Amino acid sequence: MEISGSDPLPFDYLMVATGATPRLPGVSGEELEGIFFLRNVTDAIRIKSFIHERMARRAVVVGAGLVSLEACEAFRRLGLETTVIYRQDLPMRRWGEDFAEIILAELETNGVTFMADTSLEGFEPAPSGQIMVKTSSGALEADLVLIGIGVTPEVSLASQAGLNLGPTGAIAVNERLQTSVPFIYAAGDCCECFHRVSRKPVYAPLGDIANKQGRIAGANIGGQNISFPGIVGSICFKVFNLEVASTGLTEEEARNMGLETASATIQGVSKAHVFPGSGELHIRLVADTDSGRLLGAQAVGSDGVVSRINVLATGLSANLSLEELAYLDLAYAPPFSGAWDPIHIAAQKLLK
Amino acid sequence: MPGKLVVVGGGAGGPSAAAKAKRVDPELEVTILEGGEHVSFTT
Repeated sequence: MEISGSDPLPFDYLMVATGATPRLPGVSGEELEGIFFLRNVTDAIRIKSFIHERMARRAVVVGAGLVSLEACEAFRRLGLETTVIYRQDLPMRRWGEDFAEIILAELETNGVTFMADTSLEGFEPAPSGQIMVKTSSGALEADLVLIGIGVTPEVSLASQAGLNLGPTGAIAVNERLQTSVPFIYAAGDCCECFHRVSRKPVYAPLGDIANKQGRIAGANIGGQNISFPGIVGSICFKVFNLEVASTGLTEEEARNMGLETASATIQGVSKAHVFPGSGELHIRLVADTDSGRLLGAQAVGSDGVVSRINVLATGLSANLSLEELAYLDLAYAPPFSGAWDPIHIAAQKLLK
Repeated sequence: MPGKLVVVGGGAGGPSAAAKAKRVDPELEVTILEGGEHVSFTT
């Protein structure tokens, strides 16, 4: 292994954990001071110090993915005027139009301006010392810009080493996390993982998956023989007072794979109706029409969203049928759910 | 002679692998390379 400024380092095993690189918008002025990406703790510290040192008041967020929406909440908490620029009409359309509208409403209720159907055209230094953000819907001034338009796997070292990349462009690994060169392993945002529902390799750059892959790779390097079973595509985030989560496939993703699907969407409550603090909880279940197998679930609501999605993620991993989910023995007490949990209600609706 | 593991990347996956490999095989010589200023904030 050749390292810049150092002697070559011999190894028996190599672990490639090179992560991912923020995607660049590829517009003029994107290197200006005050334009940030948020990938790691160093970036977060830089952004916070910039806000304090410059007494920033106006933030523009480019993109509406997980990082962008979470940053909106952080910026608003720091008292910044926050505007999101997004190419599409709604944030998080993957959750479906109805849920995406709930997410948009939550952003707007909390003072975020959402510029829909707007593309970024470039940045210029503004006369006042700030940044002029040029968009297809006009120009706006910002003290700080955060670009969150996704990441690409960092595979330059892997490519130099001649490792095979998979169909997603990330490093291909087997269930033991070995690359195409058996003594070279990979884990985390630089490599693919196997999706147990779609039965395909996917690119899912998430920290929890990286930890599991890393630990399994480490165990195998140390001499054990452990396999990573893959993921079911579980993900969650919080935007202000709204919890958003999903697992498995959306109906659109399942249909694009050629599956015949049915779905049911319900509005339930997070705790028993009579219980103080009970909030709205929306769940959509997607199933395969032929087999009755659960394919995925999406949910939004004030609370209790992630626990429902985690149950459904377990259901996906265990291949539970809708019948089993409809009468699943979930723990019940009024502070946590109704006697019929939203999972039961949604599964029973879908069975009809 | 003990085996040598070189880990490239100090984010989540790299340190997880380094720690587990060293636990399973305490003889292993493990080196983590990280280009940034901070290591392993999610491991």
